[in-house]
Amino acid sequence: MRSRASGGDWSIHRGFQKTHEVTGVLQASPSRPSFGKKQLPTIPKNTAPITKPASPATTTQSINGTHASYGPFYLEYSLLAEFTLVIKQKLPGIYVQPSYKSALMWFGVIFIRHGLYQDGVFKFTVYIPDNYPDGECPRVVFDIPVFHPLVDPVSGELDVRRAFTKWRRNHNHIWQVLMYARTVFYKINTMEPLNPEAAVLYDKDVQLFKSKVVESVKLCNSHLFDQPKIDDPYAISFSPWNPAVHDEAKERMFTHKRRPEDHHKGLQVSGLSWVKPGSTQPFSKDENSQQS
Amino acid sequence: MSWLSRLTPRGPGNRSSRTSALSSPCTADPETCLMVFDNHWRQVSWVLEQRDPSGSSDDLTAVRNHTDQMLCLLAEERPGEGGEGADMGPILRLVVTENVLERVVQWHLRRGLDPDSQGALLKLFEMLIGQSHQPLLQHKAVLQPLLSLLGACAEPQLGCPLSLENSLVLLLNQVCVSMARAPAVLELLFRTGPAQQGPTNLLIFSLLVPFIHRDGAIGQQARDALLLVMATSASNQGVARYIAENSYFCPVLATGLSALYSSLPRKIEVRGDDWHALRREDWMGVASLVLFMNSLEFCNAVIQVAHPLVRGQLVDYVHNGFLVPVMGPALHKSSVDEMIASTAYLDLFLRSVTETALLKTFLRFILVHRHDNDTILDTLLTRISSNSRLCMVSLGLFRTLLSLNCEDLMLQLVLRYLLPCTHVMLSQRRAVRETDLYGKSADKFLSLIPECCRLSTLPPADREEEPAFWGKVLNSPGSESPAHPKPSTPSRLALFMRQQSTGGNSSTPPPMETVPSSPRGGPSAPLSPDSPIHTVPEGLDWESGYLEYLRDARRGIELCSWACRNWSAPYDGEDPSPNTAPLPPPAPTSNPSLAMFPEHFSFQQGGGGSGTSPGQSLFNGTSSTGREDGRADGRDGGMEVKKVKRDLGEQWKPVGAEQNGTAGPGPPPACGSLLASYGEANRGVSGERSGGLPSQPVPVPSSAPRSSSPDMLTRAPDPSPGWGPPEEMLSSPSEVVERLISELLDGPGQGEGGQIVPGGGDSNIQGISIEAFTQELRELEERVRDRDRGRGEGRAARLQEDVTRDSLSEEPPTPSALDADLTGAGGEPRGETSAMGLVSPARPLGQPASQPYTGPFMVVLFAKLENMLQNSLYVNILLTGILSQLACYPQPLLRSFLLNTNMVFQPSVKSLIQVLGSVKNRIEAFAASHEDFPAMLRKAQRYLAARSKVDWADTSPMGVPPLRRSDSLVKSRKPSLGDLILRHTNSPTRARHAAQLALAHVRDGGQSLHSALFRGGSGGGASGLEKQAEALRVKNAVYCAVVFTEFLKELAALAQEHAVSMPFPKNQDPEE
Repeated sequence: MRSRASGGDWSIHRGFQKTHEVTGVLQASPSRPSFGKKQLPTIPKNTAPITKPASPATTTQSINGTHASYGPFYLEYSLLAEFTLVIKQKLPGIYVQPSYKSALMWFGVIFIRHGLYQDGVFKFTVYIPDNYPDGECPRVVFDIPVFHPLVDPVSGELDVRRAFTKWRRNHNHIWQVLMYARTVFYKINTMEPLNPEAAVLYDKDVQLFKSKVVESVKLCNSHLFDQPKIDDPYAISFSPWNPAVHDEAKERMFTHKRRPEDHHKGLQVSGLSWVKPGSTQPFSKDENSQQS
Repeated sequence: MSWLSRLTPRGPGNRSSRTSALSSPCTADPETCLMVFDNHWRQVSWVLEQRDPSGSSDDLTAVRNHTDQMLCLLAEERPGEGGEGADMGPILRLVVTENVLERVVQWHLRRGLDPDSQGALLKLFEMLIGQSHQPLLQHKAVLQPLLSLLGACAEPQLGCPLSLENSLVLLLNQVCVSMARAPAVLELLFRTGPAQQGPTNLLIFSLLVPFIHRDGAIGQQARDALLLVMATSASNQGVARYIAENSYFCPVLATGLSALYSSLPRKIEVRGDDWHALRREDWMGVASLVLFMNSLEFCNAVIQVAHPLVRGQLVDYVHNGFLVPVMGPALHKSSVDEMIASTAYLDLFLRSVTETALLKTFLRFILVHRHDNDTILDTLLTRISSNSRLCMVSLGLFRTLLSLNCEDLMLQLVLRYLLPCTHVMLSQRRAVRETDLYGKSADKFLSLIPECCRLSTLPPADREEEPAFWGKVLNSPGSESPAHPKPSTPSRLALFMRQQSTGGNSSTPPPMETVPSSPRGGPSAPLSPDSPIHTVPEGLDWESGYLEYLRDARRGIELCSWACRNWSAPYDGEDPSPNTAPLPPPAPTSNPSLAMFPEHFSFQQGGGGSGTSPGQSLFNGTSSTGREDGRADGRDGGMEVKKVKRDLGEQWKPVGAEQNGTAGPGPPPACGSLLASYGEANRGVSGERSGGLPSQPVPVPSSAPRSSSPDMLTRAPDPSPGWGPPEEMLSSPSEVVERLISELLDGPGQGEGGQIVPGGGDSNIQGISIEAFTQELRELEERVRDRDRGRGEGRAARLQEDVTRDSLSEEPPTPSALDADLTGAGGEPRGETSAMGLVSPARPLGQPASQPYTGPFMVVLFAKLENMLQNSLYVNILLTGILSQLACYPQPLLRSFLLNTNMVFQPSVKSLIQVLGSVKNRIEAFAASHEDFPAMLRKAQRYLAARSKVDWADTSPMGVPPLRRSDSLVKSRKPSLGDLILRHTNSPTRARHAAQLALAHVRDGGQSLHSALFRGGSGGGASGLEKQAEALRVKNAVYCAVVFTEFLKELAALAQEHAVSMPFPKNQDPEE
């Protein structure tokens, strides 16, 4: 990685979610004594979020059979589930991390490894509509408007809607949006552009387009170490490589093996199985290959 | 005999006296010692060289005295300087060159070894080996005489007198300890056996084997010693082969289990209606069980450390020498008591065994071995449907089995029935892998919480208190209307769920305004892990368990998928392919093993119909088990049942009030009368039954009051304080042996045995018991029974009818009579299920003839679940616990079957949600007919909360298995509740404390519930009895409502957590 993650603890093992190599880091990041323990802020009683789906309010609805409206409680879990799907997809070069403040806002960064935008490192934010999954498709906004036909040169928003004209629950998932955000940098589409200049240049003068892109990439990368645009503990931030901090973290990322949170030795969780793969008969595995 | 007097006081664990006694020679300089030694030796050798070995007793005394002095000097000698330990001290060198020991021993042998000298020699060698400062056994001059002596002990004509057994075992133990320190000795021992010993050249071994199953310290020392041999020989092919081929070690060990098993109590007599499994406290005082568990523990340990050859042989012997010939028949005994006992034993064994190879043997026995055509699993399955303690014990066993996360087991139990995917509509197969992404299933589960259970004890003010929206608006660039308050989600919930264990962030807690709250304004709940729910007021306590459930669900799913990560297939509806999956055994029609257990079957049938049979309301409702059989075309069951019905009609006994006596925290089960009825019912049936159990002698209706017969296992003898609990040792597999070995090595001459007190407690000792807990209720019940006894049969029958009528007016109409049940329609009114809006589409015509079948396990669990309203509290706790255990499994086939409420199943397949829906309707109907239901419900909740607090208060640091600590009432629904009371018995203070606590709560919670329920109970006469019966029915129903509500929350939480769980990669190495 040419760009180094940093910005303290979070940017590496939490705020910086490399789904490709380190699946599951998010779930079970080892506690890291050198950085001290992260304690979740205590949540004042009685202001806590919905943990009471069976509240009379929702109750009446569910009982009457109207399940169309979901409590934020379900929304929370839906988003978590979406995030889980993202991790499972192992999207190349894409990292996301839900914000601390709202599960509806995800921070992300995308690394472009070849093509016109090679070496580009683009930070972005995903905004998910609050009526998810029944609303429109999530929005993707780049921190710095990248020079690209489908990226609004002012707001930095990527035109996602063209790919998801109608957001269909169960069929559309956020990982697809992320995947789309990656694809646009490899397959340039100039139809109905948000940045007409880029579109025209790409069609008419690729060389100029290319140089504009290189400039844009440079610009983006030069702002890499800036403070995150949105002040959030989980915002992704970069810092120059500092071996004292990052070497160990990197090592951890590569060696990390996830295990259950309260897994301890002596617990009978060895996962007994003597079924030969491909068979559905018990004890079909040969004796010698059995686990010792 | 100075040396004897010096040696005798030194028992195991008496090291201090030993060192002080021997400190004097130690101080002397080596040269003086050598001179003294030499001097003694000259005098001894003079005696030894006498022609006549059978010399005078003076000779003997002289030799003994001198030998004693010499060996003390030898033991005290420090090895020579120069490192490597190769340097012998001068005395040892002399002993080796002059072959001192061999000559002494041979002299003794020549003159004929009397027990006295034999004992003296044994002790002398033991002292020498145990205390020597330099390694001795490497030297042939020491080893050879030792083996000669041991050889003499092994000789048939001389042997080892009983009185010397302790010395012998202690010596052998010492030898093994030395050997474990210097494994080379093993080889020497193995090679240098006396020629005349022939094939039994590992003498120490054959001498130890007979002591394997001894109780007390001697047995423990022998087992420790053998374990050391096992560990040392683990890498020695020759020794391992010798043990496997030339010793009786494995057969003795395995068949010894059989012998020990046969002396176990046939009947487990534990008071406490919640009892369903043997905990350590239960069996610690039962000598025979302690003995058995010691041996089982030893087997486990041997399998852990021994050479694969030995391990394999032992495992085979356990299977063929214990499980098949002893355990199998035991599980098939005809009397309910024996079934209960053997099931509980099997459960205990399964929980105690930690070695995979041994577990495999047990599982293979359960899954594959056929006893009378049925696998053990089949037999065990049928017992879940029984209506007694047997059901609870069986459920307990299945809980244990499920906790093993064993693929083979799950395959046999459930998965093979789901594999062909015939239970889902063809179009739905793809949905098998879907998770509950949007909380739809969770919502469905929660929506089934009966209206009447949605009581909130919160003052209404609290409920409205929250702001309706986020305090803080998130700015999204280019957002249409930034001023619009953006309702969002409590992301902290997610973070809490996911990240509570991670380290790091120093960022300050966000200010209040970022604290999200529900836009829809539900009541609040504490979120922080630091605010365990028990700190909040009682009312809230009950209401706010959902987060706990989510956390539990996550933990459960995570552990389960971790445990299943090395399964052979994902079971996701594609792999293994549904098309190639072998057809599972068909539904019960052709599977006799599914026939309900006779007694219980008939019992339930008796209660299952409406109106026709007296007493139905007590076991009543729709007899779902009956329906199971009904689905099997009624077959011969119809006859059976009619006969039973007749029998019941004729000889009905007024067991009414006690029938559900297992219910509630109150009265203990009324085994007596229950059994009597079982017996009768059985009598009526047994002749006609086909398949299943062979017609057995009718169980003796043991209506006799419980007596503390020695044959019964009574609970609660006080464990001896110094007892090293085998179960605890077993529970930490890899450390056990290491620890044991290191202890052995650290404490020479002491062994483990020193601390181990023989486990033979007096089983009649009444230990600390907190039975006072249920005392009042028991008395109450006693009274009922007394009244019962005095009553004529007709009167009772009339009562039953009355109750029946009552229940008919209360319950949703059960359309079918008994016969209808059997003809297969199912007693369940269809309308009930359709009311839930969960109707499966009408079955298309032309379905394949063979109906999809989800297997006996699911069928029996669902049947039991459907009957929830009538089940006792503890049955429901166990039952729902098992179902949620099942729902933790990440395999999509199983997950979708249980938790995907959108899945469309084939019409003949009952879904969990359907079953729950019908329970919900029943609860609501019940509540509607009892105007004081809300009050009773609250009391029941309070009672359960109180119990769980007692549980929670017990932060026992002792070796109690890591039961789920219950932070809240949430946990009280779980199986650990049943263990709650039993658990305290190992600490008198805590037990007393807990008892007081519990009793206090009971008084103000549960007891008053009972008194409320039992009001008028003292009125006497028929109306009193009626009310008692009704009270039990009501009590079960009220507790059911509580458990049901919690269960739904648990299922909803599981559905949600499955959607956010991450699978573990396969074959990730399990150890760090």
